[in-house]
Amino acid sequence: MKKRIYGIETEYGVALIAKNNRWNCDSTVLSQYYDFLRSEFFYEFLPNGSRCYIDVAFHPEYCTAECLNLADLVAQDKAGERILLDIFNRVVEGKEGVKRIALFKNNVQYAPEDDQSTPQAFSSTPVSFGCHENFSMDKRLGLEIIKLALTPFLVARQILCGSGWVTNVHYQRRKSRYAISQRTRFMNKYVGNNTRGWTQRPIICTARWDEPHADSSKYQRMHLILGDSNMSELSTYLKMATLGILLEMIEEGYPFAERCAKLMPLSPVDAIKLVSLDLTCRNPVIELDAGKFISAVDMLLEYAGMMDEYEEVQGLNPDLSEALKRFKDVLRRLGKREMDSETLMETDSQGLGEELDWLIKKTILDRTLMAYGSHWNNFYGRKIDFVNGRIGIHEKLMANDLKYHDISPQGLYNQFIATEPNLPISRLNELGIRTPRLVDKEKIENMEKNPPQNTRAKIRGDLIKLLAARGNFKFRIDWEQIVPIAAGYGDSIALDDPFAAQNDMADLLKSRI
Amino acid sequence: MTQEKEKEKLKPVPPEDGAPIEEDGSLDEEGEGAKPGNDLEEEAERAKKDLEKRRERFRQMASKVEGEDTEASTQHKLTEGQ
Repeated sequence: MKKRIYGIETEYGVALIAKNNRWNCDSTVLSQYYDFLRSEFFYEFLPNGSRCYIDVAFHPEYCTAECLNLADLVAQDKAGERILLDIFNRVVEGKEGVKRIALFKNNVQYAPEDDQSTPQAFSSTPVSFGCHENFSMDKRLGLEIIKLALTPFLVARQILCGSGWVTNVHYQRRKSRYAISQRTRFMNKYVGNNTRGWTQRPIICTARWDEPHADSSKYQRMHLILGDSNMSELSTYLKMATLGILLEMIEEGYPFAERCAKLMPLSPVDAIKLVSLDLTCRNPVIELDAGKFISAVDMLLEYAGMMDEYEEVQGLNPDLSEALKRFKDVLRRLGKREMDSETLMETDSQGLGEELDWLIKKTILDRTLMAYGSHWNNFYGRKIDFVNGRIGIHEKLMANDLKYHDISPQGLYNQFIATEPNLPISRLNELGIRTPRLVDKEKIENMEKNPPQNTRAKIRGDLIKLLAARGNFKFRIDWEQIVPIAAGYGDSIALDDPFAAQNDMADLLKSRI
Repeated sequence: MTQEKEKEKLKPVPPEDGAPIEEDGSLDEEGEGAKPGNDLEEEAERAKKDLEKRRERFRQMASKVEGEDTEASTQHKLTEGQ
């Protein structure tokens, strides 16, 4: 299978911030602002083909439309930030005492949980919310080959797409520290089909395999829940592209059984956490079944070699071929990156401090520590002066960590990219300027209003635009069907081919509306 | 180290200059785009230098404690999602 549908579902963290700077995250308070959100859309779908709704536990969720290429996917994901921000800005307009509703594209709460040293001792479940990756895949693929081919990779790939975290609790028996990934701490099962629960979230998730939102005789849906939400477009891109390459290799029969057996971690659940805490990425923290140890960088280098081999023999489409080049370039630089071994401060990020989420954030936090004469191995428990009193350095780091994910212009990631010259990405690349951005703002603005033009999202998005313009709400829209709920509009229209951007029945329907 | 010295060390360092980052992200005068006759190498050099200054200024600004900071680490209490 050379074509694939990609999609990303992102749950957002949310806080109501009053004009006096007090925060309120109480779901009953927040829920009074959600009615507007519910009535905003066409059965939760938008003209750009995406879906937006309130997910479990009152997290606003944005699901990209079906995307065939990675640039569209990245732009759809970024468009989601703009859409939600616009909605919530309008929601609080004129509300007394309310400064704003802040939306955070992250995966953890920052308020401290119970101060206990082991997960089992928590009296309440540590809180996380997800960013789920979706890939269409061949119906014939079974769980065993997926486990074998993907497990070693998934344990290590966070060094590409982790979004960084100043931990708010004891983690691996140590006080707060910097971790590469937020979600890995919450992955406490190897394989399973739950998406919630402290002990239940799996590294290899089998939930939704049987919900392909497409012809189930041909497709199943890979639904991964272990990844972080990303602000950096490059991190999003690498997260999705590398899996796209691997799924293609599995579908085309690459001999993973032979190549990956020696790379299988002894305990994937332990390994994924140890990788998250090895900020060098080069310590051999992954214990293998075969009795050896390997680092995250070396693990991914093994995969880069396999991908090269596959490309040489079978070829990759231009989109994935370019992704493989970028993957190898990032890996090469991760391998040369330097950090002070005592203080854990970056000494040479090889430019990745301007590209990957966890390193952009770490570079900002390194500077924060330096401003207060501190570093990663002595900050905990220290306090600093500010205008209204004193605050722990730890609290300031956590505040900056959270602020990094604020999708408003005040957010630190958005402030970071605002420092760039106002030039097209192609020009930045020509000049050799490092950036976490991959798509121009015009493309993101376009994706805010329009669906991808080469998948069934086009049929859905175009129809929603037309119905909204005519004030006609006599249809229920879903991922794979259009259902009239009033007489005179014919039968339901099935859209079970996600690759088809045109449908005769939908065209006929449009001519009758 | 005495307590006073330790306290002094932990006082925030003010940004080198308080100049705000231009909101539109455009280059300032020093870092203007290509001028006729300049080759790509010179332009790249100038743009990178300018960007590094801007990013360093941004990182320094981020280290200042703001009103919302004191709430963020204690009040960001959410409900378990998926």
